[in-house]
Amino acid sequence: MLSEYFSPEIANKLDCFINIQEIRIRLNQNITVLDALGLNELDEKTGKQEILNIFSSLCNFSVYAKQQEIKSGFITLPEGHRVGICGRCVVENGELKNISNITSLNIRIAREFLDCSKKIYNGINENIDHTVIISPPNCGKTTYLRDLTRLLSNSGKNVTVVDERGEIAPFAEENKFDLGKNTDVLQYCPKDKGLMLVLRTMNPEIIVTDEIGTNNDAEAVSEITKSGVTMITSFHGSSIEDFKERFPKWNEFKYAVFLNKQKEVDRIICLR
Amino acid sequence: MLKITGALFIIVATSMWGINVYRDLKLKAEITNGCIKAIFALKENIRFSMENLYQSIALCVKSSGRAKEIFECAIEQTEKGLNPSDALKYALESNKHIGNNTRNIMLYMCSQIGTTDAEGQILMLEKCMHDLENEQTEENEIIKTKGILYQKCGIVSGILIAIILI
Repeated sequence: MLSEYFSPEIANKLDCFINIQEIRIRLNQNITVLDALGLNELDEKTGKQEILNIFSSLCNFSVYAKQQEIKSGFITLPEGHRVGICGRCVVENGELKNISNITSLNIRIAREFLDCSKKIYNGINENIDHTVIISPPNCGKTTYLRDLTRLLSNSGKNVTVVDERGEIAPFAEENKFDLGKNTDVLQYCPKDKGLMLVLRTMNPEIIVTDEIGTNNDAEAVSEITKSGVTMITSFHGSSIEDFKERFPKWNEFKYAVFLNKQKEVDRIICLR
Repeated sequence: MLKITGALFIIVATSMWGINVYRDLKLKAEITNGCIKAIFALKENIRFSMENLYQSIALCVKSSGRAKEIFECAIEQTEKGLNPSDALKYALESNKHIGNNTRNIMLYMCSQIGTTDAEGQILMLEKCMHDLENEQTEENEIIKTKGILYQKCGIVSGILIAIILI
């Protein structure tokens, strides 16, 4: 439950909103809430101590236990919601070690929309092949991936999800998403290692993972595609040219699915 | 006969008083020792397992010796909805046997636990362990000097009062 992370006053105000998509908390500013009806501002300014209390609560009162995630700039809640963090970075030997003096938190709410990826499923299922979902941030890539996993899994295929940040398949009982009856999930494993691991051990027909982009990801994707297993993933980008320019192994993919700002499937194109 | 019974009663009462004072001093020192062991377990858990505080406090129960009651009370409070830090504070404040200095050191630990990265936590816990070890040394000194004195005083004063009354 989202309200358990906030003080009773703020929690009561949050209960008035329908289908919250995002909650932004900024130092000495009013809390803003984006819901189905639009952007709203709560009459609750958050001082330094309030932000620390909320952050501590989001970390389950064990900030040290979330250190690895904090180094990536966000933490994932048990319900699958992602919390982006801004503050002062502590860098050591060129590596981000910690974020302290938190000044902003951005809570993005994870939701399940059953059959939202039906259009993608119908487009690729007949000749299923490597697929990448491309869009700018906050267009629903993870939500579409989750639903596509469910549809493919329920069609009889063995699907393995490599969920590096625990967003595609959170296990919290309260908000457990349906990923289909033939799905295996490897959580919180670095993507490149996780992909190789499941390829060797889980005998998948399809591997699903989120947000590829690094060179290590590209190498791992190449290994997967050569092995005969279908790869379905997502990429932060605005266009096909962007994808081709920034991801070296773009030509391994057959289908590219584009999402627009309205979180709808804009088009599905064949790359080869 | 009545005088002798009364005298015996007085001797036993004052002796018990002396023994209880000695036991209290000993218990305080044992609780401090238990807190040191628990903090050590917490520190190692944070260093190697990075489990969240709820799970770490449960581990403390096993390692805490005579301070077990404090951590069991804290777990009870977390089950009622308090966060681990506040639960520990409540448990420390409601325990009647813990020494004041030990309580203050542990309360400081509660205010810091879970709020920083692992390195910060380990440094803070090491400082608390160091302070508790100093406190334990002082408590053991008090047991050696005053503890036995209280025991003997209890018996002797009982005998004296009994003699005067008889």
